[in-house]
Amino acid sequence: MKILFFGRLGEAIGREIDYDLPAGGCTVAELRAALAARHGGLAAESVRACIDHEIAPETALVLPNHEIAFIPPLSGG
Amino acid sequence: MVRLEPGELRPADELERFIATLGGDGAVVSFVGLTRPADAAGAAVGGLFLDAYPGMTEKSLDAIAADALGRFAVSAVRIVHRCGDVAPGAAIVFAAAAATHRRAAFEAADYLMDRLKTDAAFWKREQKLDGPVWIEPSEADRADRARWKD
Repeated sequence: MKILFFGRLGEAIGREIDYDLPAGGCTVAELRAALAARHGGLAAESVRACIDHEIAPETALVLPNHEIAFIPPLSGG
Repeated sequence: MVRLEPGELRPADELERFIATLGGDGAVVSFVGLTRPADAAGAAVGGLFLDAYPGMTEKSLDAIAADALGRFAVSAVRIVHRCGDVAPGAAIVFAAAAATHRRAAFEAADYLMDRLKTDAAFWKREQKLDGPVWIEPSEADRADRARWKD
């Protein structure tokens, strides 16, 4: 599945990467830990995960049909 | 009600179009935000890049517009926000509210801007002389947001 990144994360990592999600999915925390091994910036507490355009808690389940993004704190308009 | 604009934002055209949608209102208040040529410390800014998340950003603008409609005695609100590269001096946001009487329109426009400054899903990067810098809301922006209790 594709994982999207915005703001400074998009600049550092790229707009999207492909990730092989385990069969049955995983939690946001597990996905974050797996990705942070390669992209350290994702470990920061201020970085939030979004599932289908909504900020999601660390315990939320990520499934293959979801759109997943990691975002830094909003700058506002 | 809201639009994300990747190209040039023309405030006069936006105001004209907004007014054309109204029927029977007695007041329209509009606000235009321009990209400043300097940051808070006075250092020159050569331009701004607004990163937006297609889908999520529009949703955040929709939520702010809907909250304003629910909170004030206004008949219509409009938010047009730039994304992508914005040059110094260029319009970055147009926010407007229409109402039967002016007070509600003034308050709603004020509210729209305070919410947009903290709650709109954008990530801003200023182009400084010594390189690009990603920015976050200031304490002043948070204090302005806190004026409107949920």
